[in-house]
Amino acid sequence: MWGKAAIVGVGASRQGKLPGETPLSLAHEALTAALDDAGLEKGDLDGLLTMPGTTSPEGPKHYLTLGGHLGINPKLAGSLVAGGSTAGQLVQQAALAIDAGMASVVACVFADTARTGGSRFDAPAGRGDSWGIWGMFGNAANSALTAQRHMALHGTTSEQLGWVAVTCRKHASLNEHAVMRESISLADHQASRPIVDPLKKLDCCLISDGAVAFIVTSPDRAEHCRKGGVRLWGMGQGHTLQTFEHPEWWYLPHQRDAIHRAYEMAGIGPRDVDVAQLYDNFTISVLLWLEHGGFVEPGESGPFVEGGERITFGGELPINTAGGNLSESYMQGWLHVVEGVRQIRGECGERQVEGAEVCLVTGRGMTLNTASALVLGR
Amino acid sequence: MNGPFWDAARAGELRLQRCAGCDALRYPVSDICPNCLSLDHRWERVSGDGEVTSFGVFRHQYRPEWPVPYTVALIRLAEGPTLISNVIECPPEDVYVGMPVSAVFEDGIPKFAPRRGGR
Repeated sequence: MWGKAAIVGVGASRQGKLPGETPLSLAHEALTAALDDAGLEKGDLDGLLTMPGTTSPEGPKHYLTLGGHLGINPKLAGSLVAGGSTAGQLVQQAALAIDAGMASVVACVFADTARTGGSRFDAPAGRGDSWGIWGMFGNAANSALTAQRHMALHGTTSEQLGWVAVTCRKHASLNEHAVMRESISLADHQASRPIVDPLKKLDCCLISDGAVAFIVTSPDRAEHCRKGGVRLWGMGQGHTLQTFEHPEWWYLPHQRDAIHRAYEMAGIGPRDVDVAQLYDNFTISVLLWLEHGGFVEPGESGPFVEGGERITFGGELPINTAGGNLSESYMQGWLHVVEGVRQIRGECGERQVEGAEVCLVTGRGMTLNTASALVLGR
Repeated sequence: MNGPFWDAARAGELRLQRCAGCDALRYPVSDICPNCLSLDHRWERVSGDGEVTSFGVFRHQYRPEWPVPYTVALIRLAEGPTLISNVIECPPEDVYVGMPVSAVFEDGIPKFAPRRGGR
């Protein structure tokens, strides 16, 4: 196992619909919370890595705006845009810099006002020609292609996807900070409005305002932090930067690569994972992660999630214990890292997974192209 | 870069790039062969026959000019490359993974319809 860096602080702003807030005000709220969680001060930071939200017009210069406003003049800085895999990738970049001695305490920050700031999630993808020529808009459509083929090859059903939504909502109901806490049934999922068949509204993640921050440091320094450190035992990435010109793009082979690289670095396998935070922009994503993580054989994730028992508390693999992108808040996977840290610390109250020692956290982004994985433990 | 693709489509033909370096047929259109990085290619007509490898039926209307429902599909051509396109001349409910289709041209845009004599 690697373990040469640790997450010592996690913080989130309020989440949901927050009129009047800006990415900057929310970033301030999250970073302050993360520093407090770690028992550190702004002056301790010598690294700042950020992900610009959909409402941060400065794009890859986001770190510059944020560092300027927050008065941070670090040894290490930068922004990365890789959608839902960014959180994991930035933690990895922070960890490597710390191990190399290039920085000692690195903050990773994401903030967005996607809910109230006028973000539109209807852009077409494409290279050479826009997919909009054929009416291929938005993000649900890419995952609909994945879901449809998985259904055709393996007999996966909309009801099985529904069990992911129902279970994540159940988990969110135990999380006082979650945006959507009202319980839903499988019938509610089935009755929800179709978006792009086979995906319905309750197969889709939320759109949220909010911010999240992590503080990463060395294991030695972590011992002096308020809650100790949660170690990065393994880290991995995988990328299929081509889309449909790669014959297996629809099945996202890079997700498997990212997880198995992280397993190898940590010296573990799927049976060692006690709890998992799996990036869930759409319900089908969870099914694929279960297959890619080796928790089930390829094609067998549908029956595994049916009924929800195996993926909830007391089951074989509790997933997305805070509610995930589907029900907690859509922070593009950043809250998955927060929940992973909190589960390992054992501070999750009624949603705590008993004896959680190893947590897998995954992320995936862009036109389903990028993937990251973290193995967290004490 | 993609001019010849669209010129051909307006003439009712599907033409893709074949790499002069490694002979690979490719799509999407690119100046660079993603297989061997050669910058040389020629345009070659393909059959337009293929099969649906996956599809989604739009029910939520994203843009006023795209009334729903309509079907967006991945079409794997008989010659190998995959295109993203629409399946038309067929109710969305009747589209399936593995469906044989052939290229048709609507306002100079390549789309696909159920292949005559297909299953």
